[in-house]
Amino acid sequence: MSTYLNQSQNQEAECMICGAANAGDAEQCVECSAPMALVHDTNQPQGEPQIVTILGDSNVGKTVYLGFLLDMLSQQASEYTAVPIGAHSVNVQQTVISHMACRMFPPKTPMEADQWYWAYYQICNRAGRHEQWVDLVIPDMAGESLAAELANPKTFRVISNLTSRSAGILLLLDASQAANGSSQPDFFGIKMLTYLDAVNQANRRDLVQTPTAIVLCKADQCPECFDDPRRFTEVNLSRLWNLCQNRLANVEFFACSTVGALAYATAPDEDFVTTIPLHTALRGVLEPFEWIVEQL
Amino acid sequence: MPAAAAPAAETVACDQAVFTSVRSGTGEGYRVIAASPGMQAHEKVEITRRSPSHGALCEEDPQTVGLEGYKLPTGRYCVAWCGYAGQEHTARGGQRVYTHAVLLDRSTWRQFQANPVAVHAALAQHIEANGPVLKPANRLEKITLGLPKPATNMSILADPSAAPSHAIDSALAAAADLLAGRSLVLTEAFGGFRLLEKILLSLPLETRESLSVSVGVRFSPSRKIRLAIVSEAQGDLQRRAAGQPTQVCQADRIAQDRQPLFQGWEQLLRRWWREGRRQDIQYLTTDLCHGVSCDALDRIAGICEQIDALDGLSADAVRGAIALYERARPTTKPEQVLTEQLLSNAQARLTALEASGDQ
Repeated sequence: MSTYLNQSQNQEAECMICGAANAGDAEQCVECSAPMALVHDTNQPQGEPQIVTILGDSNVGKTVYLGFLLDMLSQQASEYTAVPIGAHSVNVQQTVISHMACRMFPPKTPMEADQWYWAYYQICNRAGRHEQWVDLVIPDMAGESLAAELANPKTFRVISNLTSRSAGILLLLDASQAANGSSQPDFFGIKMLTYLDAVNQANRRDLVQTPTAIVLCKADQCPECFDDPRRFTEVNLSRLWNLCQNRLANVEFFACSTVGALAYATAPDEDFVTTIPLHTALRGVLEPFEWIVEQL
Repeated sequence: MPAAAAPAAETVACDQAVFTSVRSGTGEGYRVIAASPGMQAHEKVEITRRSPSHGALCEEDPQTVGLEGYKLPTGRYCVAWCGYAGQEHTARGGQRVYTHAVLLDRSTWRQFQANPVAVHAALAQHIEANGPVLKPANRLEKITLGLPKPATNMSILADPSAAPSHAIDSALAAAADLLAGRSLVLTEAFGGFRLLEKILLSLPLETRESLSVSVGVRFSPSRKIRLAIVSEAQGDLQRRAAGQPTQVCQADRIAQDRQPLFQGWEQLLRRWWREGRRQDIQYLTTDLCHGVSCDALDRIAGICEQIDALDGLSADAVRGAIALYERARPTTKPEQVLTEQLLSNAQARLTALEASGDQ
């Protein structure tokens, strides 16, 4: 009989994200679908890793940003060295680099948490006199899942668990949309900050202490963003700016772009337009992460 | 004499919702883009949580169709038609997954005999006629669905007796596992809908009307589906299901080398499916078996076997059966009804035998 029952055969393991008890052979948490490899790989003397969460609306470029960031770190950009823990940690980097090399954006991240990329890296900062090692877990969540969670908290419990345990937040917003007058990035940003406020159970007197980097993505389409990201946010994302000033104790603003030039293609029999990244030109990818690591 | 006009098909109106990926002024990506006013907030959350998103259908053929069925927190049951509707709007590769869900209250759900395949067929007709809803709408009217025709003419399984016997064995084995409280992921490359319907109709109504099921949608632990029929590679599926409270097996092998969990029940239904007695099965599982626990099923099946056996009994044997069942004290309503039917049939059989002088 080829049928088999997946039962707990080994010792139970506790999910790093939600704390649920899982069978020893489980690959994903039975409650929140986070990979149990995070737990199995974390048996290090340093203890539990810290979680940095990348948040952003659908199609803002979270996967591309994370893929390039990890690729830069693993190529020893700046003073950093990054060591992936587990082969699964390399998947997002490989997907992004291989797609962009073929002049394609990587596929959409599905909403199902078991399909998300989870990167677990040991990062070493050699900038000072002493090496500083940090274990980081960075999930690549679907923008739609985030939007659904914002609209109805507890739709995806993994998100509230992640954000409440995060040591740092990278909030990605579409600068090109904001520069074109769209209020969507502004509203998404304030919804996200309100959500963080609620998750951290902060009251009016207590500001959110979690270091938060506001990353203005697709800044290649509005280069003025690079000159002064703070000023850009104040002008084009004024609601978010005000909320940041009032609710976040530790916030910084960055501009970022990953693509040098874009082309748009379609065919007579197609009713859609494909955006083609002609070449990559990374700018401002590492800085928000460096800032977050400095705050940890 | 002119032929009588065919009666108008019976229809029901129910709430509907569309979950797919479009761009609008308030956002983009997968979400509930339109819904009829009766849909409640909790229902929207559950539909968002369970609906398939990018790449979540098992097959990449543009004509691929999937099904999801699950109970909502409000008590209503949701049946969803899942398929592709062109390319994903960001054109980042892959097709747009389109999910059209209908929300059935208890009475409407029972009008469909708690059979999601029948609802799915009615919904498919609607989508084929009207096309998918791909523009966000503030308001979507209720959808009108045609009720299924009587059991013998129901679609998908027009001729159960022609089905290969291993399909019946697989369906009964899966039904027994579900009755025992297990969760299943069955791999079946073809005929997933047929298999689902056969499994469900082999379950008492009260069990199947709250069961969460899917066909053609990739297995995801977060969807919390009790019965998922998929056409995925075994290796990857088993890896994802490792440690989950779910049994994974090939549909055509589930019946091999197993001890029947509900021997009498499985034996009766196996024979009835093979004899094409779909109407009898539907009467038994849908109309009769209300409020019974699983341990009563074998006793109920025993009475049905006895009723079927009456035709071949001698007068003495019929008298013996009458004496036996007159003394019986049925504990459940179905057993009472069937015992009464047995006694009535036995008396008729005895009268016929005595009239023909056959002792």
